Amino acid sequence: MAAVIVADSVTHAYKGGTVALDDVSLEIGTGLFGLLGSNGAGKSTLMRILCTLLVPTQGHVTVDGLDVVAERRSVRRLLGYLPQEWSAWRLQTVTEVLDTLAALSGLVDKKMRKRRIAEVLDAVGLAKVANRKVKQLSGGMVRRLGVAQALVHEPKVLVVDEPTVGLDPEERLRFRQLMAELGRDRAIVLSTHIVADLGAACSDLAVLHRGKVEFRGSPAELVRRAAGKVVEIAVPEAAEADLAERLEVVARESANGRVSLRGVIKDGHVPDGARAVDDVTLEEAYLAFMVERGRHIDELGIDDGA
Amino acid sequence: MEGRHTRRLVRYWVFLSIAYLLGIVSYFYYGTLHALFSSMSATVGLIGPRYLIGAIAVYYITGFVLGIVFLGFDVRARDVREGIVEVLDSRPLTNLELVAGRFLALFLAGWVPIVILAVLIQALGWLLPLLGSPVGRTVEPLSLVTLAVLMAVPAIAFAIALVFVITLLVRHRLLAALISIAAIVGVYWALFTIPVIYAPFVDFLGMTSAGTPSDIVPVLAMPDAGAQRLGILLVALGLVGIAAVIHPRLDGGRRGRPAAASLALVLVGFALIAMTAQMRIGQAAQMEAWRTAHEARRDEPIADIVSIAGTIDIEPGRAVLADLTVELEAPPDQSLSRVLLTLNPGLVVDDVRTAGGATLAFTQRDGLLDIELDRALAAGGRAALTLRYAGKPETRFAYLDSAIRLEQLNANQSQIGLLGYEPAVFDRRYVALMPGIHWLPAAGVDVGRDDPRHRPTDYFDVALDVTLPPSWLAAGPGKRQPVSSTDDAATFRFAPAVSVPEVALVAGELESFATEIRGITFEALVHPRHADNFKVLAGARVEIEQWIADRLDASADAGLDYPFDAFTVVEVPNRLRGFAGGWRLDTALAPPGMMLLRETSFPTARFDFDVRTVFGNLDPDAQEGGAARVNRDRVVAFFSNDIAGGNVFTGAARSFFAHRTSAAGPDAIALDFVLEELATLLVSGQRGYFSAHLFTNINQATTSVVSSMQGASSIADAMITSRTTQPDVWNVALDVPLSDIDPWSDPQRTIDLLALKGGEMAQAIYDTLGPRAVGELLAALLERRAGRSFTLADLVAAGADVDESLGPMLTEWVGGTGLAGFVAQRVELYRLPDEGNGDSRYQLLVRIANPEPVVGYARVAWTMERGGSRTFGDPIRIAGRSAIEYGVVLSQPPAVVYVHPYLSLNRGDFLAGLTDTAEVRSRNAEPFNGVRDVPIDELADARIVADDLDEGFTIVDDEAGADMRLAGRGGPTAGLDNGLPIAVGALPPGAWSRRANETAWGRYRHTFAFVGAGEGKRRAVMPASIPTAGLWELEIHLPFVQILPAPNRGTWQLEIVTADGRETVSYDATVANVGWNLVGRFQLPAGDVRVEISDRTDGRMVIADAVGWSPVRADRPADDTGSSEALSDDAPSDANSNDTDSTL
Repeated sequence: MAAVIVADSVTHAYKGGTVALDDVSLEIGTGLFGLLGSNGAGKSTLMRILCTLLVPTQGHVTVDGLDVVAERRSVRRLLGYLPQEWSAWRLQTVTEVLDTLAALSGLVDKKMRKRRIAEVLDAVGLAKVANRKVKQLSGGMVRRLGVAQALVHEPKVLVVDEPTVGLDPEERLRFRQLMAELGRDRAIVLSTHIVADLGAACSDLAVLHRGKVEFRGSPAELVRRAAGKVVEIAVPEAAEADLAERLEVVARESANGRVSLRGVIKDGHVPDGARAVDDVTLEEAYLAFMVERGRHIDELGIDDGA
Repeated sequence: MEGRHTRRLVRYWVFLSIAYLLGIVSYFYYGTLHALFSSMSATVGLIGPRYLIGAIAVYYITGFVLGIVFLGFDVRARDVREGIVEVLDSRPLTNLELVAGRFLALFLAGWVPIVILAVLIQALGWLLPLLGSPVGRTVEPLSLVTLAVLMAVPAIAFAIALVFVITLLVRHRLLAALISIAAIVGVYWALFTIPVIYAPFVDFLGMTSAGTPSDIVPVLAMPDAGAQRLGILLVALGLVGIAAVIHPRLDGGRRGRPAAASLALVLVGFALIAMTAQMRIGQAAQMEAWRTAHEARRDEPIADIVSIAGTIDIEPGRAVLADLTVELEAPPDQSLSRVLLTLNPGLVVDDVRTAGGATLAFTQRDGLLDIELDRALAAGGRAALTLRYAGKPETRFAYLDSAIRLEQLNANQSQIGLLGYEPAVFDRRYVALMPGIHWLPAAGVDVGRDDPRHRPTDYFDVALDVTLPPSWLAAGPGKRQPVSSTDDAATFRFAPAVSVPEVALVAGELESFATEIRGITFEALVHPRHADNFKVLAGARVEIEQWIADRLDASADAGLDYPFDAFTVVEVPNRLRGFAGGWRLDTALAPPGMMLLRETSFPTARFDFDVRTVFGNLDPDAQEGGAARVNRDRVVAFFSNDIAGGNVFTGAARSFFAHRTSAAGPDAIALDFVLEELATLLVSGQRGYFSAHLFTNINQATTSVVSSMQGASSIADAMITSRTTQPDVWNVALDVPLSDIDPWSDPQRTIDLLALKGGEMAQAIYDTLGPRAVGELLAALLERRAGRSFTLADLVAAGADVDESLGPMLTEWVGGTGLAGFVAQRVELYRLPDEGNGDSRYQLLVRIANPEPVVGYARVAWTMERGGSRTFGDPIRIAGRSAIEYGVVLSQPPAVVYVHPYLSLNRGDFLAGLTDTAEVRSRNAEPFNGVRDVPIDELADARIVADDLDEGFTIVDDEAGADMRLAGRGGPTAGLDNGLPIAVGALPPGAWSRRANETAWGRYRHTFAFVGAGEGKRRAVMPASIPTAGLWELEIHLPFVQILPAPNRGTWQLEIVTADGRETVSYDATVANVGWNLVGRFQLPAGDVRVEISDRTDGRMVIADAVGWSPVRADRPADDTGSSEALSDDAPSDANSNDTDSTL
């Protein structure tokens, strides 16, 4: 698979010295690429560099062979971007927003724009509110509008930063389906801390931690790495507190004075009575990966996406 | 998107609504004023909306510009605020595309409404008259284009671009808005502060670019406006580029090249702006160079031009071709080897020859034609030269020594431009060759021409054959006699029978309305679209002609004939400069045999609408003479009310007299003024007033007029009153004889001084001698001096046959500063035996003294009821240090008697006395009508009076801790009257102020001081000197003050201070009468005594007019107030006493 996006030894330090990215190298091809990492890991910085909004302090990034700094405008023609903090002009209608952004993306032909707007609105489920002003949309609708604007000009590369924040479960599901569909013929870089958002369509991912790429591989590889680190155990409720010291609990079930816990082991030792599970989820694998690096589940902000 | 977004903003519609509201309201406001009042005064037309929109467009645009600040400051902030900034930033458009797109959208959002507004106003102008509305007329179309394109496009573009740059620099939209508004205000400030020649640098609004609209010669803008407007537009575009460069969004390309290109645009824009300014500066420098060149040769001998004859071929807009014979006369005391003439530098002389055909050497430079004669011309000798010249006249070459240089004024002062700014018009559509540009040669240099003290006016005969395009008509000196006409040209001859000092020639495709009265052709030439009033007033034609005939007859009976065979009123474009140069800036609209009417004047005045018949009760047909008479009177009033130099009567009067002779010598300025006033009085019965200087602050002038309108017979009359009642004008009048005035030191003051002293002199002569004698005086002077100048001695000699007192009076008034001062000592009224037919008869006797050594004139006036209109007796001459008794027998008893002095120390009318009409004593006496001398000594007043104008009158302010006495004493102080502020308005003043009042006490001048209620810390101190110790009565004098009826006066606190001590007296002013009121009796030591009146009162204000001390006679009882002259505002002579006996 040919790399669409290549990041070569990218380092970025903000004013004040905070190093957001530290010698990051990545090659991303067609398909859905997941970018996982806790808050402050450097995901958004990397996304903004990819989207030409930020110039890396060191290193190079190319998109489809074009340097994001030297050939910024050409790169932008290839990109669709949905930032984490997204809204649109409140006084414009959904169609007007898309029409404007499509035009600004080089979609000069009015008929073409009209067709594309209809397609993307349909795709994101906003067709019925096409003429509604943005200020009249719900948060989820605005998020879907964000997806629509990122797609309206049929970009070769789609960069989405925490795309499902604020979406209800049904919308998330639809979003995952949409990403899977779009990922067939383009590169999608999806940054999220909701591991479930990556879905089945994600074949490649990277985990950023403190500006560095700590993992690079497929979701299956990440799951594989977590083998034996995710356990289930049933204990009396009184013993749960002691267990919490050794286990990063993912799921808990209580009945008849006993509690069943599922979690990631913290110190490498399987607690007595615990059983390593076979059906490790990607989320648990990511958690296990991060716990190994000393991060707590609360710090990771992991959301099960439910 | 940006435009759409803008249109959805509430603030956009708020600004738009306000701007539209202002635009429409101002259109209707000016339209209504014009409809209501434009037929009342030739000056009101200056605010006619047809020609005003261009001038006030700047205010419309300013409204939009301010709105744009609050739209443009969102160039980036809105995207950030609405969370779309990163999406936008990641789009593949350039910053320039982003910023320029927003710029264009905002521009259209701001500009399109202006276009719509312009169309809307024009549509209203078309529609409203069709619906029968008297308000609403179309606007001159090109001025709307000027507004919408030339002014609005660069202005809005610049404003948006500036706001973009500021916003992107400071990155805080409210701060950016503040800075932007401050920048716009700063530009305004600069525009109203710096001379207009530098205005191109700051005038992004185009205020100084819009030309004065005209139907005759419509123009889009001032000639140099295009470059400046283009420059502003380029700067705006450059700023847009700079905004793109400094935009924080990461752009794809390099910034260096766009930055350089943007900067280049800005620089090119500035270069164009600078070029415009440089052109103006260059023109000013050219004027200065011309002036310097002329000034350098000011002292060279000046030949007298005896006559100019020949042909003038006018190719409109292209060239004037002249072939003239000029007859010259050397000065009587000096021979000439060279002749120096002023000739417009645009007219190139080809050939100068003697009458014998010999070619003469000449040089032509700086508007000076220097001819070397082939042999010296002996003193007083004459020679004829032929001159051939051709070219396009340089219309800026005029009025080289003008007291006001238009280019040096700031935008605010440039309001004078309402009177026009182009000294001449030479256009393919219209030609106005004004004397000021010297399209005909004039003797000597073009400086000092308007100062007859040093340079007598040159009068010459003229006979010109003027060739014009075939469809054109021309107005010039006298009658236009057709000479020949072909398909290509028409030739007319102007050859007046009398000499003239100047020649104006106005021509165009004009419509003629002519009539002949007493053998004189009266013709009006107007633009074909401005002929409505001739139709409206057609019914009054006979009345108007009769009125003119009566005036001509009256003048002719007095021996003063109208000297030309025609009088032509001709319409001129609004931009033609209506005032000449020199210190006076006299009207340029009244050349010999002509009167020039601005488009805003009679041609477009709304005579179709008479507010009195529409909204009032006037039924024209029910009036004496019917509608025709009413309309005639409207026309007469229309011109009488002109204060902008377009008064036809003043203009006609000049053709009667001032264009035929003028004064010379040290008194010349004053004599010219007086005689011109006399001629105007003779022609119209009214005085005129014009000062172009006042139009540099038209608001002040308007306020002056409005404040003086009450009781005035015309706007000119109100203007004269307003200007001549100013204390500082009087201060000069009392200090400087007219023969010593330096008009250049303060031209406006000089005009006011002349209006005061010369005008009053003229009015006194006119009233005293009567129109016939005045006509005889002028005729006698013309008979002796027509075509030449005259001196005071000539005038005195001419007047000797008319009235022997005229000479001494003129000599005294012109050469001295002394004035008469009148005191009304007694008013007596009694009933005479009825006439045989039973009619009642009342004898009114008024004694008036003139204690001053100078002769003066006054009239007695009376009203039959309080506040009624005054009836004036005949003027009375009162010799210095003498007194007279004036008697008149009336059929009804008068209620109030006044003295109306002419020029005197009284400065205005004053109350002589009130009478008790209810109980008039009968006396079996001989009726007396006339004037008789009485001894002046009998008229002494026994009171020792301390008046507010006395030297010792002081204001003490305990809080200020200082004696505030009389800041202005000893010198003129604007806004002060003898050291106190001049009270204005109806509200009680916050500080002690002074006001003139006919009913106030005063030796000559009748004023009082007053102040609003206070805490007793501000006191008026009125000192007096008591000759002998004893019991003295204190009286206080009260004037009639309309704003202070008796119940509002309250109780006042008076303190009587002597060497023995201080005593406070409460005086109940609510029961006081107009006149003297007894306060009480006080035992006083000999020496100084002062009455201090504090501002503490339970009423609204306190008055300090005068206090009087009278010794109490031993035989007089305590309850006898002795206030026999007390004059009540409620009831006559109801003596008032807050009786107090006291010993200090």
